[in-house]
Amino acid sequence: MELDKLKASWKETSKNDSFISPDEIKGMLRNKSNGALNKLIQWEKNCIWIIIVIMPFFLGILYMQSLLKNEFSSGLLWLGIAFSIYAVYSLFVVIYKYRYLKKIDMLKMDIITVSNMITKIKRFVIYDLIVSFCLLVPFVFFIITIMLGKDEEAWLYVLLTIYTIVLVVIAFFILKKYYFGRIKTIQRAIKEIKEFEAED
Amino acid sequence: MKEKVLEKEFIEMIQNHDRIIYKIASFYTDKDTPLSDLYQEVVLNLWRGFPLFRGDSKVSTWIYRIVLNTCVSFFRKQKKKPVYVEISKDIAAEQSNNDDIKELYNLINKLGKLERALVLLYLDEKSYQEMADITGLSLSNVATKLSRIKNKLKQMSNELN
Repeated sequence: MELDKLKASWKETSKNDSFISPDEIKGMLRNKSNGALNKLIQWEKNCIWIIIVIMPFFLGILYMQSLLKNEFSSGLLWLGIAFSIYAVYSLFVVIYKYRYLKKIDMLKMDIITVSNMITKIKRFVIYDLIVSFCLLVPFVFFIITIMLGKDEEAWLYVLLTIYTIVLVVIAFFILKKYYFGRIKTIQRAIKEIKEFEAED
Repeated sequence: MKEKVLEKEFIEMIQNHDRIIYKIASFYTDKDTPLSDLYQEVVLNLWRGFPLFRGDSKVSTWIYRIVLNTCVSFFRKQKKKPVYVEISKDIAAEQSNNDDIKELYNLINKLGKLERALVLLYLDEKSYQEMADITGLSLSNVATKLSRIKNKLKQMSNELN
């Protein structure tokens, strides 16, 4: 197959009449007012607000709890600190993604730049998901141990630890199945962009 | 009123270039990205940019940039798909009459996304300067990459036959 010889046939396929009706175009515009990229930006924006609202709310509940108990337990304090660290980390990540996505301008940027930025954010989203999950599992474990209190039997903590380890292993395989394939595809795309950018 | 006029002009522009949009979008469809999704995404992005288009470049160059950017970067995080308008007429049947075009569509999936973009620009007889502007490559790089892609396609075609 010669690409040069294809030009004529290719041109032929562009000559036919329009196949899309004005109503179909109007339907597309009414049906979905925002594109996929805008939806992503909106999603990250919503996440920023959710974290900003949840963080003082959760810390407030912890504070109320300590007031009700009339004591400021170290368990609640650690829980507050752990939650704050997790929330602040999430907030930074979401703000980063939001700012990064806002920079992408499909109307003005060239294909290589857009492709590069999108591929990087895809990779970032997957890594963030894995890191967030890894942080979430010990966080949940930490909450449960605080809820159980000091009076519980030691075997219960051993059981809980085993349960957490099993959970992490299962989660690892699930993540591997669903995301590692995508990471490979993304790495291939990054390689292609690098090859394209390199001058011959 | 102004919105209505703008919409009318936009519809006219889409109808004048719908085959180009269709052809580019069909180069980038896969099992996760059906043609109707991609086509609608392209129309929406064109609509967003339409009021800002001042005619600094050719309409077709502007369309190519947005359509290719949309296709190359189509990324939907949410699993739940929004509702898309189905395109009533199936023009794939019309195109499948041509064996060479059919073969090209079979081979195109084996090329990278950026390589596909160059093939499309080349087939639509864009100048090297336009190709460089749209892709972000240098003029000399466009020529080298194109020559490499042509050989690659030829080789793949020979292997297939």
